[in-house]
Amino acid sequence: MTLNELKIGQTAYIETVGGEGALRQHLLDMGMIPGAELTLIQFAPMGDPMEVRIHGYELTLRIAEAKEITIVEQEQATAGGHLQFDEDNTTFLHPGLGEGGHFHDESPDANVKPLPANQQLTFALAGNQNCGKTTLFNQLTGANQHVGNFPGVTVEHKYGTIKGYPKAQVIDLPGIYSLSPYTSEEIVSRRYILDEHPTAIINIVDATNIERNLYLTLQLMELGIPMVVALNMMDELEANEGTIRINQMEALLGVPVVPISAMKNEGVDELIEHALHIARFQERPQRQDFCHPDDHGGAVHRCLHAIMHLTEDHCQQANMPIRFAACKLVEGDHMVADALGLTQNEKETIEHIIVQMEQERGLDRQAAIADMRFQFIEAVTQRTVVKPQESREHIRSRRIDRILTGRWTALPSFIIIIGLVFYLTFSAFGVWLQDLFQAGIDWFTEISDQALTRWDIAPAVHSLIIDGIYNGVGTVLVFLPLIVCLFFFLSMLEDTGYMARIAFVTDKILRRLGLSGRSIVPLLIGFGCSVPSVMASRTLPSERDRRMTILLTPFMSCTAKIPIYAFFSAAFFPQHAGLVMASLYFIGIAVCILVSLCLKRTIFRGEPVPFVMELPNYRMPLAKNVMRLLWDKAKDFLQRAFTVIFLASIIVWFMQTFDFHLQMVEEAHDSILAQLAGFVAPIFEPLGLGDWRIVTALVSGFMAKETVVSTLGSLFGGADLTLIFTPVVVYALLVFCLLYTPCVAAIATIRRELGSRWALFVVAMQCVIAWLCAYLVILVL
Amino acid sequence: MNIQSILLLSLVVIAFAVVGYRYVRRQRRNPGCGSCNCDCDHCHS
Repeated sequence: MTLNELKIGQTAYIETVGGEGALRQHLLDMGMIPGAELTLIQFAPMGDPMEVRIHGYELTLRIAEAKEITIVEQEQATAGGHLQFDEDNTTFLHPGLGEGGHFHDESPDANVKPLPANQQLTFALAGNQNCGKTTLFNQLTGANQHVGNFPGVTVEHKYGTIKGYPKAQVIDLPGIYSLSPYTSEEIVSRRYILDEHPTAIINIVDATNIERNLYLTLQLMELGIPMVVALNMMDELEANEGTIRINQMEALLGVPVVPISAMKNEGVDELIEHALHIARFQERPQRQDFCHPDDHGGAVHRCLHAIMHLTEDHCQQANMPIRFAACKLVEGDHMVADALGLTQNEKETIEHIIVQMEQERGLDRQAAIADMRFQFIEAVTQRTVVKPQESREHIRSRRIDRILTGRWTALPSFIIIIGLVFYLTFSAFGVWLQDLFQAGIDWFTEISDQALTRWDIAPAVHSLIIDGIYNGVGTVLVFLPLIVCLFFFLSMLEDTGYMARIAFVTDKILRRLGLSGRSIVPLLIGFGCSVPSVMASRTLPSERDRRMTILLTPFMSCTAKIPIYAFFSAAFFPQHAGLVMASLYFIGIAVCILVSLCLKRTIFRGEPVPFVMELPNYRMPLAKNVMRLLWDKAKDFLQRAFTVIFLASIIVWFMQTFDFHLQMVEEAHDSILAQLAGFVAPIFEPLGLGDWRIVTALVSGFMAKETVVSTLGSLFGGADLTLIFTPVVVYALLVFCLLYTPCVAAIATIRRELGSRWALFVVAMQCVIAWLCAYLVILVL
Repeated sequence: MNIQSILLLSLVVIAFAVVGYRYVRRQRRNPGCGSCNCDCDHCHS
């Protein structure tokens, strides 16, 4: 029987995990090992993917992957039994690892070699996705990093200094499930830990989901780097009547274990003290060996130790932790094998050892290593963890999910929620705030104008201030409330945990377009801004999916284009502004779908990667986080308004006011700007957009989309646009603005992620598509 | 052009030069920096 045949609510045990390569390794790392108990929670509304509960957390996977996993309904007794510790339950006194005072032995026998007091310490903050790393990072450093409730919010390293300890730097690594190179984030994190040699590791562990989190802990311990375990969300665990025997866990793991609540800032000071202590005194994990001679006849134990002896010299030369290298060699990690530079003879010997182990253990190599780790984890948790009742958060999540991911209610809920977000932003709340803002800016412009007249300022300078800077920056500034509103709602979707459900619900649709459900997150963030959306694509485990998603995100209409839509809608379609806005968003989505279908059949042939993702519990976002996010967005927007738009406004004013002889022009069409734009204008003639002012505005939009409006504001002054353009031409212009090249910041980010050729391809592709679509508008309307 | 116009113009020119210099320098160091939701250390320090 395979996993896809399981009925909803039914429980079974994994017999074998099929498939191959990195995906299979990832499934094993996520706890899908032979013998593991799992329960089928539900299927997505369209029958695929499915959600299962394993090791106390929810995981999604597609039917195609489920077909590779065979299950049995009864737990099978395995020869050799489960690993047990010898120690008596009652003998665990406080081990005092990572502590000073009488716990710290500085006698010559202890061979302690502390680092100099003034040495810079670097801490790598490592942990699973969505376990609270960024929250802890913010508490440790006082930084304002965005915290989400979606696996993979952190997509690159973030550095900060621990508050009160200027010599202690902490690096927030992307969340990872293991040190196997499955996603690019895992490769980035692993490379950082192995190559940059942090002084110590702070491993953050979600106490409410401890089995899966400890899997990474064991791999980090194998590296032999000083480490402290921060047991996060202890408050949530204890609120649900669970607990963890800290002393026992510390003794069994051989590393300091500190219970904390990063969100409530509880236990963080103690964690810092432990971290500084182990880093300064270089106190390495006391246990790096998780195999046991009694575990299933000791096959894995003998195999690992044989390889460790065999590769000892290579590990020393390559400066690679020996235990880590042995495990990775057994798992078949080519990156490690290449780095060690083994001879052919050694490779063959290792292969023989592994084959022997597989025969004795009755499991293949990857499953045997994963099983060895989970056996150890099970033995530790049996002794130390008092399992909580089903948490209130989980009960609440299940109830909400009955509607939001229910078979008949999921898609309507998705449409209603997204519709509500856009309605509140563009029709209700956001517009009300925008009107307030507009009134304030108008008032400020008026009194500035009066003041300049009173001070008898020269007309050219007066024009520079009012027509250039105020008009340019002011026209854009007025859209601040709309942009902050949209970002606020998008972040609410992410922070509550709904974004992960959207990925689950829409996976099947997106797969038809050649994408994975996980791509929905970068695409939705694209409605906010293309820069973070391109960066969010790093969470995608396949290069094919990542590239395709990056090429498609600029079709999502970003908030910077809102000023353009709002500006023209107010002038030309005052009665139907909402409808025009909505139609533009839909055109963006429709073109994105068409382009993805073309890409799927041409450049990106093949299947999207499997959909293996954790579904987090729903959480209420903290008001502090929300306020911080709003402030960040407002600050970022103001920064743009007063840098790039301020500069562009002055440049545009200068070029429209002077000619090539630097003489002030009487007529605008004699200006530098008009003459330069005249070269490009013929291209836009068929679209009815041959006016040099429109062309200039579109070119300036390459700097930042908001500058299209500021430039138009400067060039047209107070002219009545309805007398110059027809509604059809304006709609074609809006469609062109929607689809043409992303701004320079987005292009730079795409270049950083994919290289110059892809960045140029995006610019060219989007300009051509935008022109064709705008032309289609002219033809059809 | 009177003195107050010259002063005001100087102020705008200086602001333009400073903002432009800082913008170009920042973009060279970290492309995309200063854009909406940019996550670089520079923006969040």
